Amino acid sequence: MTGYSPFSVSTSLIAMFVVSFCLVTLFAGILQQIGAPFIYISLLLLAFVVGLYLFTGLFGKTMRYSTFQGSDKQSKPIFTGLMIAAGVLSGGMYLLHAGIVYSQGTDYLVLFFGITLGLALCVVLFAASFARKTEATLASFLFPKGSSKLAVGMASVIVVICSFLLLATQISLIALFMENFYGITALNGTILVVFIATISLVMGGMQSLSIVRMMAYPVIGIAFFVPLIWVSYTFTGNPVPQLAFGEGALDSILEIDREMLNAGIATQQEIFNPVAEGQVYSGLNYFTTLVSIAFAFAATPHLLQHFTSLKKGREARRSGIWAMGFVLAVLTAIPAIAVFAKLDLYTSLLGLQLDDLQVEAPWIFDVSGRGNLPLITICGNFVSNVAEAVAACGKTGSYFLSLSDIRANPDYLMLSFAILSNLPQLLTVILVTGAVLAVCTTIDGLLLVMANTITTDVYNRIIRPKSPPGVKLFMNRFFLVSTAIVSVLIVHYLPLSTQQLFASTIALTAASLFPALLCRIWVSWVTNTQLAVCMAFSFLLTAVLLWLVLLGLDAVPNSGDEIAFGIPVLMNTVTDQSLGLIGFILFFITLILLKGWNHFRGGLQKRDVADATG
Amino acid sequence: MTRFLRKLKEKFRNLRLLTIVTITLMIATILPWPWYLNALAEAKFIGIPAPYFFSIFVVPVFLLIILVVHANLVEDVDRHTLEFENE
Repeated sequence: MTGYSPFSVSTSLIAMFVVSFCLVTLFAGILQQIGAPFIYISLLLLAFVVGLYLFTGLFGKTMRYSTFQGSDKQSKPIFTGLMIAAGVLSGGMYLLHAGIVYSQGTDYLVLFFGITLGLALCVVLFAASFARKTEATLASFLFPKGSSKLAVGMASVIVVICSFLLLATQISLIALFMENFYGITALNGTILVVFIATISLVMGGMQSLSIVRMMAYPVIGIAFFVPLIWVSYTFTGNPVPQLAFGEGALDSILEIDREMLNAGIATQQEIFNPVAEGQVYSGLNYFTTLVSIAFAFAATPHLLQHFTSLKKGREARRSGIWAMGFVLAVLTAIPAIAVFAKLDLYTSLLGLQLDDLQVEAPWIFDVSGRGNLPLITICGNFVSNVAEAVAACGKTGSYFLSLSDIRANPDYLMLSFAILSNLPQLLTVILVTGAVLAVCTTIDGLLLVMANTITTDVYNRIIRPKSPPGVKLFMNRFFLVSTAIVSVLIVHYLPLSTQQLFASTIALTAASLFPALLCRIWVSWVTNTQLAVCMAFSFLLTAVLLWLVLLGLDAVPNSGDEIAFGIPVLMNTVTDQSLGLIGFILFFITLILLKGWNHFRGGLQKRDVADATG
Repeated sequence: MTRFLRKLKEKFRNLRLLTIVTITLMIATILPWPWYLNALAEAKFIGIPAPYFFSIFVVPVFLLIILVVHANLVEDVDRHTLEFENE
């Protein structure tokens, strides 16, 4: 085994996977041509994703504890960049961001800038230190050998909670596509996704995780870009969506809007305005939310662990720059999806008579009441045929659809993109396969972070410090399976929505892990005790604030007793994510107070000594 | 370019200062966007509203340039550690 590294064949692995994906897609296309049911084609590509995880599990399998916990430092910057990019491109980004541009305009830019700034901070501040570190987990990095067990335990709890909340966010997205495309219930879908990720991780740990993420990114990119490039080229003749959506689509939308406004059949509020001031994030909330997201992304444990697969700080920085390029390629194309989707709705539905829907736009029923995709409502209802549309609008069949009659659910915009654009059905399946991969490649990293933290920092450092490597490896695998099972059970009963879970992750990570890492790496005078106290204080305070804002005193969300947290004069209502920045500031206030107290106590002691001797 | 970087490197012998300058540049590239959004909401480039145009093309390029220059100035981790510990 010595000397051999799976990363030495990274290029071949990626090429092999991309070619296999193309072949499976070709086979799926043949199946579609011979009339195979849609569900079979969907399941074929789901099986392909399962196959990827089984392959990487077998390919990266290891019996070495060190390789299981952290890969063997043989990777190259570009491949580590792919791993980080696949980890960053979560289900939320893949599935929901286009809908956010569609429904909330420039609010998307908060997420966009938050993520890019977060990655940049991660590269500049932390990447190099993680490349040269020998500790396997974030808690060990913050509190190395010699630290108190209480501090290590506390850091472990914080890492596990932050990772678990992000895991719950990803799991909550599985329901969006599992029932609709695979005919599998949300719970069974969750079990399936977590199971395939766990199988791979149990065999190869960090090594398998690195390989699977590295191989998955190109396919996520293909699944994301193929439908988009197709639509972009069809509408504008330009295959680069980032360049094409302006003159090709947005101009047409604005022209239609102007005509409708002039004709008096639409109001200013109803027309599409992608540069409307953010509906959620405006004023100071824009800054605080952006900064909180950036801090949280910079300190996300499941991304930071990939820098350990490199030898030098220089390589780590380069891998971060690659990752940023890969992530930006996708993020910059998201506004184009929203604009093309809007143009599709405008050109195919507006001004159509209800009687003509069946002939002119039969797909509308597939993304309304007939299929499983609840995207579009006609006159406020999901409709499955013309009769239902007529009944919903309370008019006759000759009624012309206007802008106020058509509403789109932004959560399903991405998944319905190929249907909206009247693309071949196979492209919808490819789009969904990309979504499955995006969710899986985030879930697996989070599961591994939690299991590694429990094993290394709780079991090995607190419960049984002298256990032999074989036992450690067994316990790591045991905790991996246990974490997966417990996570699925807890997530199933969590009352919070996807947005609330995401906001909680951002707030808690930005309040505790980011400032702790900043102090550990860049502030040399901070002691372990000071770091532990500040982390615990800022984490607890942010958690309490989140609880009050999201759940209220009765611990039930949306029951009416939640507290609208605000800062007088500055912000009427603070967004959930912004609580992270408040926690971050409290962390440093606590640190300064502790430093002042130590200084004061040191002065008193010196005076006592001087009095005693003099 | 190499000469330019060498000169910059001489100026930034202090790693902490270099990092602070880099982060300040990054934040200055990203944070003032609400004002730009209001000021440029009506402007368009190749049909793309200015806020999206800058977000898609200008800001990422700035950030990547800043990161590449930073990575070249801080050559390797040993020097990083050494300088940090010497301070």
